[in-house]
Amino acid sequence: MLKSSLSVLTLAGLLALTACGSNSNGAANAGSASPSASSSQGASATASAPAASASAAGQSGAIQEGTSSMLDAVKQLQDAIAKQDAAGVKTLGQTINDTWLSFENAVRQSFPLEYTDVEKYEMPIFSASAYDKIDFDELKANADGLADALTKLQNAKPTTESSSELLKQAVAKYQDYVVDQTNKLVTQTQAFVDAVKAGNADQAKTEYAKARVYYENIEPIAESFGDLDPKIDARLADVDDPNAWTGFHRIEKALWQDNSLDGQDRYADQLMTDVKALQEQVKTLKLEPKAMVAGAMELLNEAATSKITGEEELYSHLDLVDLAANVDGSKTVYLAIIPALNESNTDLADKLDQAFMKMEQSLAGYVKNGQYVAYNELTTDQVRQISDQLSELSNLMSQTAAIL
Amino acid sequence: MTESGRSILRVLLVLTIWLAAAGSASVAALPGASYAADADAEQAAADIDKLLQHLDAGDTAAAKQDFAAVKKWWTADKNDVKSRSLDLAMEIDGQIASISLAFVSGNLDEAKAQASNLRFSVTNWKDGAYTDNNGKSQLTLSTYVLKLRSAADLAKHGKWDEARSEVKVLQQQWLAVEGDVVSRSQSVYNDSERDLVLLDGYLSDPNKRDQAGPIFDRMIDSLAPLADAHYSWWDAALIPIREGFEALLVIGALLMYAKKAGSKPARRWVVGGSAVGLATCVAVGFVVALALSSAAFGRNNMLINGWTGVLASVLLLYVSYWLHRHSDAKRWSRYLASKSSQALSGGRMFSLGLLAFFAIVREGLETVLFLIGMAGKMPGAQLAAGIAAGFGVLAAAALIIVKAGSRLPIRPVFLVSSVIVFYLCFKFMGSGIHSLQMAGVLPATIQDGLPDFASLSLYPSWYSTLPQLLFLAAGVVAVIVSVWTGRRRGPATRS
Repeated sequence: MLKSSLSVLTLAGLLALTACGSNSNGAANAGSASPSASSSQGASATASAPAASASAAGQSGAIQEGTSSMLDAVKQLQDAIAKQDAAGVKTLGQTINDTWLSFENAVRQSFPLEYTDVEKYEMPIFSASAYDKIDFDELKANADGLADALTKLQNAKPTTESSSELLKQAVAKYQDYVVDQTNKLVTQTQAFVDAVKAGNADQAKTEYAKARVYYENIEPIAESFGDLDPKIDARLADVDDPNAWTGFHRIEKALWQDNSLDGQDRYADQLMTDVKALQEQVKTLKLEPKAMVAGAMELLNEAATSKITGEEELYSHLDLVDLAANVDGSKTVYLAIIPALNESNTDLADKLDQAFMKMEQSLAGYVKNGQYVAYNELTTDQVRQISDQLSELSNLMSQTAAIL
Repeated sequence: MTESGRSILRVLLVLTIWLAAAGSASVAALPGASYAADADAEQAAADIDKLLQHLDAGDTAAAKQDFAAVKKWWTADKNDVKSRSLDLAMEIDGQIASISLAFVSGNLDEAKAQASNLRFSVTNWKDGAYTDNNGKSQLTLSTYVLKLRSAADLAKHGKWDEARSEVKVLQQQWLAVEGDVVSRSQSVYNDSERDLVLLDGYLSDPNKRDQAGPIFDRMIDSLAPLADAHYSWWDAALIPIREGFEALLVIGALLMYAKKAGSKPARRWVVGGSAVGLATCVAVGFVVALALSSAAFGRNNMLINGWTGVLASVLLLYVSYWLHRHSDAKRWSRYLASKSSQALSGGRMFSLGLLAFFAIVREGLETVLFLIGMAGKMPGAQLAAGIAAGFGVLAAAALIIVKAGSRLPIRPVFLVSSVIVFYLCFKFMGSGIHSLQMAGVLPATIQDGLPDFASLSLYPSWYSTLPQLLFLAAGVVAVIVSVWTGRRRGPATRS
């Protein structure tokens, strides 16, 4: 009697305890649910809600209107370019940008791929309107391209693909971009090397600046190919043996510091060989989405680590050229991943857009005579301002990893 | 040899052959080559330390020089890090960029903060404490124990701050190795987690620093065997001996009781329950090791541990009480005389079998997982020999218990075994509820005033301590009652 009632009591007590325990505890402690997964889901839920609330009909109406106004403005721009009307070009550049800003968010959300194409041409036109010297040939190319892009936008259908498909397309597009930039790099480096071998210092300096843009646009890709980046882009501080130093900066030193192109022929030839090797390698490039998105971050880090300190272009002080190219390259990745961003976080896409715009506008302010000013001419405050904008951009870009 | 002894040995022989076959057939994939510290990374770490010192001292010029050296290292090694772990590489890349921007905008506090983060990232790179591009973690338990030893050394030489920062790093790196530990020993895992926190607490308190030494030692002692690359058959033998000791006590007590009662069916139930328990552990263990992963099974293991512990504890309370009651020789002979040779009812025999089953499954599953984990670390023959030896020792101990029990008079035997069984009941309840708390079935509330002796399964939580206290009270009451009724019956019964 005693023993059975004892066991019954104990069992009852235990059951009561367990019942209390599971009621209050529930699933709170159970399992290994990852908090980050649930929080990113929460973020996307709130992000897609405002996008969904905007009426589709209203949006497409606004897009159609905006696109027609822009097309009109671009036609006027093409006329002004034909007449070489600098003042007219500048005014129209502003108008086009204002029009674009009024409806670009809608375009980015509904037609991300077409958005990319319009941005590609619109930005340089707007930047050019701020310069004191106008390059009409380049402007014409951009204006024609913009007209095409806008026409495509007029006839575009909304995208129906899944986020992962969009990401795959983005990677494919980006790879094409990289190949394109590398080809242009080879052509431009050839022009540079020709000028160096001909002993034409001034021409060489101009070609050098142009070549640097193509390289810095895709620098992390070049870095990933083992020893090509050190051969092409190493600074004196990075090499252990100064006699083994090759690449752009070796010739840069000769051009800007030594003021003599004697004995530079072999470096020029070596540079040509290495750049062509890069071209071959890039053809075999197979990027993963993760690496591509990481590359956007790396470009901004590049700018922050060696361009903003002025140590990249130690002799020519062309760091702003490089910095702008880094930012541009990063923006290219951003444009490529907009479709994926739209799926998960349109808020982030908006913020990145604004951050890039601020950066580009502030950099455009340092263009004189169609060229970036020398880096050593910037004041500390100006450098700090660029640095802060870069920091903000980096913070936003680091959040894009969430789309993976 | 007795009937029960023979049965035990028969079952164990079959299992040992089975395990040996599995052991020699299994090709355990070692968790990645242990990463040797890179000399360049060492230098980079030293440079970052200098950077932090100069930043602290406000010497910006010297700090920038240190940073230049760090940047140079990164330019040279970035691809290497990327090829092993893109995530770690991006972390370091971002941290270096942030430091650079901080220098540019003259924000030395930000530079310091980011430099500390960078220091941690580089430490992880050096130690292999990162998730590589295949999702695997590179930090091995051996490296972890080495770092523990070096931290212990620092503490021994009175370098408290260095020891403490080492411990902090070890706390953060625990995640990289805990999977290795928890799959092999739940108790070591729990103790290590507790000890890491204790070490941190003790080292930061000037009054308690001396207490850190013993904790380091016990942590190293419990982790080192798990990390030791040189396992021998004796290590394989120790596992069943260590883990199976308590189950042995239970089974031994039950067998001895069955022998005293002269009930062969009872003995068969106990042996049967043990065999089923062993088979279950082995079967589930293999399923877990081959189909799932030990880490993923962790919570289920805790649930099994918890419930079998609690249920066994309740049964043991009953057995303990029963043994104590019948320790009176008169009562016992009366009991024997009143029953037939089938002295025990079917229900009671089933409970004995069930108890044996629970006692084995409680720790058995963990033991099997541990043994399987060892399968890749020594030749199959050694593993088989070790397991056989371990179980052999257990079997011999069981035989001794039974023999001793049969030779000695009822009263001391039953009294002693009643106490032992009661102690086990107490312990099983505590550890069972603790496991359920770990599994999230019960809330893990800590009450600081309560005693904390993990070896006695005393945990500072009312959920485990309260039932234990109730049992203790019940036991005391039972003893008092029996003594009192014994006195009341008077001297006439004592003859």
